[in-house]
Amino acid sequence: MPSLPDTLLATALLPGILGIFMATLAAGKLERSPGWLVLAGFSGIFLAFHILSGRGRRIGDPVMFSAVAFLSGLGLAEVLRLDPGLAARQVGHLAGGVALAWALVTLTPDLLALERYRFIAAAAACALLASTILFGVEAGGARSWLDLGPVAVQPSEAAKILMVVFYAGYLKDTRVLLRKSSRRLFGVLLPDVSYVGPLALMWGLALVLLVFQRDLGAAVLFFGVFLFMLYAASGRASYVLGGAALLAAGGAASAWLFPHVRSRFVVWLDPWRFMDAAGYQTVQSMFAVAAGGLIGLGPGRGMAHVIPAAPTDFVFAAVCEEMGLVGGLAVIGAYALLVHRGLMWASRASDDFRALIAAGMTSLIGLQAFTIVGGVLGIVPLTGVTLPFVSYGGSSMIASFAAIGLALRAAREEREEQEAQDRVQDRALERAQEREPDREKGRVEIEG
Amino acid sequence: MKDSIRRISIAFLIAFAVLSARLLLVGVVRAPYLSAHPRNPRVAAVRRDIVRGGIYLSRGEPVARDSASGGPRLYMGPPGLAHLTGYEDTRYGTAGLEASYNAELLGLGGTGGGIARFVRGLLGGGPGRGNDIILTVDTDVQRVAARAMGGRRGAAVALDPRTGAVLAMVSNPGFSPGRIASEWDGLVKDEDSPLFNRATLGLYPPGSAIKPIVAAIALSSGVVGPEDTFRCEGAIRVGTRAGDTREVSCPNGRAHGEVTLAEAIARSCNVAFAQIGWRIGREKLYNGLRSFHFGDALPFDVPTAAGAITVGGGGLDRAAVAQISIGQGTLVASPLQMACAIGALANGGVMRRPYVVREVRSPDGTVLRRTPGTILEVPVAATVARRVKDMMVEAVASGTAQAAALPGVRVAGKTGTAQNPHGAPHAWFLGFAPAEEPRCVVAVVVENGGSGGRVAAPMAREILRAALRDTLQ
Repeated sequence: MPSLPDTLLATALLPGILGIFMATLAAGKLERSPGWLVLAGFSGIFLAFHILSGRGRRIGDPVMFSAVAFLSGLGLAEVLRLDPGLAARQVGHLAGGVALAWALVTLTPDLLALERYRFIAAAAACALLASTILFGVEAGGARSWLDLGPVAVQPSEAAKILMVVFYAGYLKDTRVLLRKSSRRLFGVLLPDVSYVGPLALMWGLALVLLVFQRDLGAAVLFFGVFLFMLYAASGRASYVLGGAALLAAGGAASAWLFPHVRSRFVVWLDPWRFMDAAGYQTVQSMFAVAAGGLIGLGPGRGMAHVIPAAPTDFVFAAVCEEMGLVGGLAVIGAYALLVHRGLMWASRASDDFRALIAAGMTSLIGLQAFTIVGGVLGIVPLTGVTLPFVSYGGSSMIASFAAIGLALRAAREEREEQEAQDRVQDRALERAQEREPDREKGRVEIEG
Repeated sequence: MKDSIRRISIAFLIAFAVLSARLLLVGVVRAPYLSAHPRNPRVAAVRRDIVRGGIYLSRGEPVARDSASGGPRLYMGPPGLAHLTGYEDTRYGTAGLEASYNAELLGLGGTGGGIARFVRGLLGGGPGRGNDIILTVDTDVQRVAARAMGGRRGAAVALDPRTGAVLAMVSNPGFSPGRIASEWDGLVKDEDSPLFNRATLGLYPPGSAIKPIVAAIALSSGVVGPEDTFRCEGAIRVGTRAGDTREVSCPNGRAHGEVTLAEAIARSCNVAFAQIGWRIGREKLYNGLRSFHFGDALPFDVPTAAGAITVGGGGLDRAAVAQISIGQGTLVASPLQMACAIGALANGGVMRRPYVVREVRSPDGTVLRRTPGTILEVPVAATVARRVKDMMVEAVASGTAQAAALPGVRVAGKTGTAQNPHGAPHAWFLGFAPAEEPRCVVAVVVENGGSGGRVAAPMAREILRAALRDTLQ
């Protein structure tokens, strides 16, 4: 009998398998096609994960993980169709990511153990960012890569995860303190130093990212996730609004100072005016989205490859062209589901650190997905961030799986705690029922 | 913490809903525009391996289609239709219906073609086919209209006032869509602008042809009764200030004496209409003309010009009101606009949206989309429309428009001889028939053609004769 997790995962994998299969057929040269390898790798990775996690019993939330599997499948199919060479490497990234997520969910002792390393995490994140500032190489206008010979890595991807761990620990420490702050000056609620301190620090960090790495996307993510977590911990909208205003001010200032950032805004306002230059990507991605129709042209049948950076930043446009509005909406829906479930676990968590980890990691994935899909569709200025689990890219893939692994770990701990409580209650109930027959008998006798 | 996390969750759901809405906007609402955009590389790619759909007239006569051998696109329409159908050329792009229906003709932007194309690709099937478009144009009316225009510069539009369907549309001088590439240089240098569609984009002062519209506005606003008379002494001063000697006069300074509204139309009395315009007033005249869609680009299958109306500047400019009332001054309109406006009077006050593409058909003949006849506006009541119609019948029966009369059918019409800064006046004729139940409206303009009654009215008569050939025999 297939269990619910079996069915969920199989359903989630199906579109990806079908997509990879269609991309393989469309590419031709079937006997030497890398598509078969990708197909086998993809199926194998998730099958292995499923079996090794007790058929879904130990992964915390099979719904969340199925959403991830669905996104990975569609992404792999599109990457294969756009560049078969990249797809083979992407299978490797996927294997690494899934293994990491598995290890985080099933092998780690406890999230609370991680909490102890919050300051080390912060220091490591800063060191990683500093390394790119010092030794980074430029790609796509942003200097956020480290060239390590055979591979280039994006340290900011790892730094994102480490920073969320730090935020979670820090906000748990100061939460009680922060909620009480109520000094007033001329009737205005004054923010506490313990809030303003890290807020200013994070703002500074985001600006450093902007100024030294010229990485608008990373700056938005670092600061945005911090604001989400700050709001989760404090429940104070005023801090978030203040923080958003700071971010807007920083963005405006950098748009004024740096042509690289400014062109992003100018193009966003009217991509058609710059369709031969800076707006080319955006306009081409609009064409791709419009070409898909309801169900798409099928993998390999579209022309999304004309968009620069199609397998990475613009993979969503390729999905829309070849898998249609249905595919595009399903991708958005998968993120909505993933974020909704992650935050559900966060709101149920009995421990603040666990709650903040679940909320932070899912917000990170959700915000990143919104930023790039919104950029591709022209709602927000385009920032070069990847679509989590879908875009090609090793650093991003591993980081996304680390994030989901930690969120799933929080879900699993919460679930197991809940089950333990249920067992205690059940036993109490059983004991109560053991005494019940006597009372029943007594009542019968009276009625008789 | 529970509450704030739940609020974050709701914020995310809203954000993803916004993304979905935006995706639908781009992928559905804007898709037809984006898919046919000349800079979309898919258009060129699709064009290479697709048989572009054909353009056909109302009874299936082909106007444009791809050649079987894969050579340049073939055009075989009746004369004078080149501006409407337009052209398609690898170097010079597209124009006319070939441009506005590019997506349909290439079979792009639909939502059903995806999987079919995928399967066809797998099976290695032959080239795909775009959709065909079927026009409302009647071959016979079109031929007669083109012949009637002859070599004269100008335009003619014939449409069915009951539906808005265009029966014929001629713009002169024309060009050969099939030879666009070889004749391009000459065409763009030609001073007569042969590539310019005068029927929809040409803007002319309507002259006296506007008078039925002004009469309808006057009746509609209740300022003029059927018994009211206006004194015509051949000319009237319209300037307001002392020393402003501007005046409106009737042709050759001829005095019409005391005339009613009906007589003013039949005899095309400018002096009477200047007074009628004043009686209507600046505001009501402007709003009335707007309700007939003057100053608006009409929604149509190919681009249309808006024209202009400005009734006076800041103050109540009596001179401007008088000028507008006789179709001069700042009022300009396209032949299509004039045909639609008069069509409203023919159709009991109901103005239909003009259209020329009747349906879009898939290669296997399935009708994918049929244009529904839609009402654009109801500028005047049916009673008002009928009274103006009677006046126009009188103009053909005994007035200035007698050259438009046809035996055996009552024709309503109005001539116009519009002064303009480019030489001889433009000759206009607007009319429809049968007056009892109009089936065809005609608007004809001949640039610098002279008298509307002598030049344009006989042309309109021939077009009406062709359109009504079933009942006339």
